[in-house]
Amino acid sequence: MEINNNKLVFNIKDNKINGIITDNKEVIVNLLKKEDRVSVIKEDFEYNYFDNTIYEYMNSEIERKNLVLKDKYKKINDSLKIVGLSKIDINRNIITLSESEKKLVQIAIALLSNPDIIVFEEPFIKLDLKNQKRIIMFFGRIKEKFNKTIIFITNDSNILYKYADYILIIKKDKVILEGTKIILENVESLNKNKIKVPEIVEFTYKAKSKYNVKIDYHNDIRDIIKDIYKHV
Amino acid sequence: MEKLIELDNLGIIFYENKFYTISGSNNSGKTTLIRILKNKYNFVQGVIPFELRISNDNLMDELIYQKVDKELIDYILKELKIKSISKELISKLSKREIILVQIALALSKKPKVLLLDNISNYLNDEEFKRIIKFLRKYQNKYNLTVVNTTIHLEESLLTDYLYILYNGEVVLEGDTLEVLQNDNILNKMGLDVPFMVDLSVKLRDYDLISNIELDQDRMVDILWK
Repeated sequence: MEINNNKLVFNIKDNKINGIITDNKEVIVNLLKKEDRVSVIKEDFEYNYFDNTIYEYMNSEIERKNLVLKDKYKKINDSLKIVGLSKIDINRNIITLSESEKKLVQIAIALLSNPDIIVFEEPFIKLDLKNQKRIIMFFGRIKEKFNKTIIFITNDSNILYKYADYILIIKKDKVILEGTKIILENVESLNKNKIKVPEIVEFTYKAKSKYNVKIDYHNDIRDIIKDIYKHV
Repeated sequence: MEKLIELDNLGIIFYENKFYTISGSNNSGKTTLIRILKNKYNFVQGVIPFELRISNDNLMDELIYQKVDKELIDYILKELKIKSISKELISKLSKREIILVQIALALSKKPKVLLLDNISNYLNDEEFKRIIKFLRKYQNKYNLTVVNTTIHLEESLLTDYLYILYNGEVVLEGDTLEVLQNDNILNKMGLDVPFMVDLSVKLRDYDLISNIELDQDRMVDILWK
């Protein structure tokens, strides 16, 4: 899918987890928002002043987005169920939600409109490893099963190296690099553009460039250990 | 060393002039602990993002209103690099600027203990490191204990002592590097061990190195030189 605003053109891969590293998140998010059937999950949970319970909060979001839903109550419950919050009490006060529960409620709201594209700003910033894995498995599943396109917008190259299928680096309204995670192994180019190199890549690169060690780039630390063991 | 705070039920002790990290997975009780400490002791100041109770609409007026001495104001504003925004409406500031304003306000009350609750969520890596460096400097000058809570164990490498909470209880504690070597336990609790500690511990298990090495260049030299 091509995103184009005359000044900036880039391609998003359908039914994949896309990762965007950018110096101007706002521009990119606003540009993506213009597409049809897109839901944006913002970095922060925004409280609405008048809503107390999870139900009220989700209901306001439905009204704000002018969503027409046949059975609203059922839809809200279904949506919470999909994200793994089936046991949550929808009459619970939203201020009692933990960070991970807030993120899951945000995702549940994003799903209400049945979007084709889900844009997720800084998806993991407040989440521990368990919740990160839970969310990535969830997105992997809906990507396959319901043909959703996922876009993570983050400057955390470690996360994208681990989880993204396709990565775009956009700086000053220009696509600098794009491709599979291999582009994050292009250390010189990342350094030149002041993009943080994933730590696991940086270490491997140093071993290769300084001592000509024949180890490969790996995603998992256990694989790199095996490789080091073979080559010391 | 003077004990400033001792929480018997949790087994947490904060000594004067030290730098602590409290970490734990989501819902482990970090923010709850910060709130309790903030309300219980008058020598404690806490920075909980965006929880800000002030009588003026800009930082400078508030500092003057609170009769903070001018030298301290100048020092804090200069070091935090927020002089230029000190007279701007707080409601117009960005998230990262508000966090810096909150730190300035907390320090201006000359606390013995400063609590920082997940502030790195709103600052970039470099800025967070710069703030920690400044607080180290401030610590030497004014005697201050700092407690930083975070989900990211990487941050604990910048501090002296680490407590790990799980379900509201301390499950691990000790000098930062000692605690971080419990990679299996930490992973089980949903925490990501900093890459270089993780690599070191695993290489040590294979007898390839003998000590924890945090610097990538030195690690490469140890393995292949």
